[in-house]
Amino acid sequence: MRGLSFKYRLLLAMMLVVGGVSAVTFFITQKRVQAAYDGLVEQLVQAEISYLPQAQEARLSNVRRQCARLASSIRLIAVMTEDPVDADGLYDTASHELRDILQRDSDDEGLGSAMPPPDKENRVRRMAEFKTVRAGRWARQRQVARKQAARQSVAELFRFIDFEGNLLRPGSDTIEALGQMGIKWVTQTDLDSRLAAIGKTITNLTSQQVGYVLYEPTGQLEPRVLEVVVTPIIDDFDGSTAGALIVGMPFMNFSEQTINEVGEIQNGLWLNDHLYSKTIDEGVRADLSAQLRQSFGASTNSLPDGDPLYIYKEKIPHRVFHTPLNPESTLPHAYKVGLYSMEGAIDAERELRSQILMISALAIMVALMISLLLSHGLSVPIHKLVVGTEAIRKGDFDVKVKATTHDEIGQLATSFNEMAQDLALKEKYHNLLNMVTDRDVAAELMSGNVALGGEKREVSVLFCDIRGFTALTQGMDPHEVISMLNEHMTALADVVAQKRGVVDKFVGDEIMAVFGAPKSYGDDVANAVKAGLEMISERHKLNETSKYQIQIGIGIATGEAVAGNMGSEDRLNYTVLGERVNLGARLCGVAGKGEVVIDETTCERLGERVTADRKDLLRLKGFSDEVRAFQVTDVRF
Amino acid sequence: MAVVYLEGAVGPDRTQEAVKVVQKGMQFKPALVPVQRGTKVVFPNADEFYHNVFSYSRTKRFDLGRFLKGESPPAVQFDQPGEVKVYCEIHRHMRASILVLETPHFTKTDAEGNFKLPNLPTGRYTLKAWQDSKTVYETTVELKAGETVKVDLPSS
Repeated sequence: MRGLSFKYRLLLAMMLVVGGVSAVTFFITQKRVQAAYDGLVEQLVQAEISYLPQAQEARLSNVRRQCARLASSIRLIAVMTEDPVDADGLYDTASHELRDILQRDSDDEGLGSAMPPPDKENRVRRMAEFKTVRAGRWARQRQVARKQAARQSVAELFRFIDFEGNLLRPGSDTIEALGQMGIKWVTQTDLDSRLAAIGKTITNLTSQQVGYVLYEPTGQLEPRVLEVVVTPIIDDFDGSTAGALIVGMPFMNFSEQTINEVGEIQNGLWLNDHLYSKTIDEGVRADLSAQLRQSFGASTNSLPDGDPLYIYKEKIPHRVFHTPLNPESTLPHAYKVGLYSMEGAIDAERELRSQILMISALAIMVALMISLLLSHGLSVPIHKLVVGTEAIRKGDFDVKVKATTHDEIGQLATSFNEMAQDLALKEKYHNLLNMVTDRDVAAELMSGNVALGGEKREVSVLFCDIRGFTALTQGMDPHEVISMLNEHMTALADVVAQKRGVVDKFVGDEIMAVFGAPKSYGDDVANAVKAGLEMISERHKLNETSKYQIQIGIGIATGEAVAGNMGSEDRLNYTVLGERVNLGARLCGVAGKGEVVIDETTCERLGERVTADRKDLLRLKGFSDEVRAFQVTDVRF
Repeated sequence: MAVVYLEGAVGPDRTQEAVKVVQKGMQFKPALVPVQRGTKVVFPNADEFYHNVFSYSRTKRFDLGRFLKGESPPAVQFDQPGEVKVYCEIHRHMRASILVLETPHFTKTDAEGNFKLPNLPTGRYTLKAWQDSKTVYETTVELKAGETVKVDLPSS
């Protein structure tokens, strides 16, 4: 991460944030959508479950009432308690009593489809429908269904069972008579055996029960399921069971007119360990049956529990739910099995996913651009600043970085510029200082060792002036004089610097140099004398090339002097003071053209190294005693 | 209480006896009546409210409809032997049984179950005690002239 440029770090961070937020959003929303769909399915399932008893009530209430009434009728009991029972009379009487529920109304055309079948191709519509299914709408639909169900309860079958549980059969004449009444008598072995099975449980019957009986009518492909109401006929005289009345209604399971078709719920009936359905595909049925058998366990009367069951049809998961149709009955339970397609949910989820992906891709791109912009906005001025610092490092203090913004970068640029200006100024001062005073002195001054007062040091002082300067420059143009002097001073000052001396000052045509102050370079005396000699030879060389012919004289004195910054606090001058200084100046005055005159101390210091001619004793201004001087011709290190 | 009769014994005609099954206090009185085949039975209403007497028995099916006290529904002639279960449509618990017999040699026991059948023909016959259609005791008796036979039913 360290190695990556700021731009890329910013980019990466932005993308991570956007990516992270998108992922989190996606997961959260997906969970919510799923939960919402699950909740909706639950709602549907619960509605179905709660609807069923109501529907059953609507269907069966009339039948149950009629049966109960008949079963409690003393006449029926009278007939049933005869041994043998007069079956013909029984059915004859019963058919009249149960006229209401046994005969189809002439104006009943049967039930048409209450709801239009769904357009299986129209996914969008399905999804919309799914979203709009609500309890209110269901309630209205249920009302409609209830009315239809009430009209619908026409018994397809009625049988009597005697006190031993045997089916009572009427004679063919009676059957014919019933036929003329509009009651069809169904004779079918499997049906009869199923009813007989119910008959076996007769001694356990104490109240009316609802059961389901399935049989396969000959000549028809579809099995028929009957919803049967079994009413025990109990003689309340002694509480004995005289028999039972079984009335069977066609159970309109396979084309049940409920909200199912709107909600994409496919139905089936689970009875006798088998799944019967018209709307559930064959392929799915087998698989579903196996699963149901497992979850129901050994006995179909045990209520299964556990996680919601899912089954796959063409790779689309369907939620399976089942609910008993006659939960309180002592007769075998039948279950309504429904499949709810989760396709709507999956489609919605898919759509959501792609939407979120698109949005997050967009967000990432926008984030990319923003971060590029931002980093650009940062890196450009930073780069400029870097260039600026480079320039300063190289010594160019005139650099300026444009501050375009008012933010931190702008502030940085502004401070940078100010810093550059200050540095430039400092440099100017430094240069000026160097120009005005010696480099070493300037360094001393810069390093802060600027203090009034001085120190006693052993120094060698050198004075050099031009012989016959006044006469030389008479009549010269002032500019020329300066030019001449500058050329002269530059060359000679250079020598001084080379010899580790410090040019103290220029006084007119005179140069004053100090060797050994502000710091000593070791052999200061020798340096001074060498400097002197080289100044002479340098001037000779210059005379050959220069416009001006100048002769100089040099005086050098060595000894203790006071060195330091003299002046006021605001304006200082580093110089040396003392008797030796005066001596040096005087010796310079007496030096001839191209001569280097040194004092006794200098000579002594140098010893064998110097070759000097003794001069006559001098009487100098400011010196009470006579002064011994020497003229130097050579010095050796 | 039961009806005791000598099955198959011929005797004097008893069909002209006036047999009444009265509805009183929401009950049939008597609740168990033996009659000889061919007897007419009347069912007068002695209560202050309606009764509806009927039977679906194969032996004799009849329905007298609703009638009040004072109204005289027609008598019912029982010309088939067998048990006739009598009901009242209005009062479910009102039950009576009329046992129609071939033989005139019948009687009802008292509350303790004692009975007496006089003037029986001689010969060997089956003596039956009919309590209800499911409870019929019988035994064979040898009747000799002038003898009185003691029978206990059920025998041992």
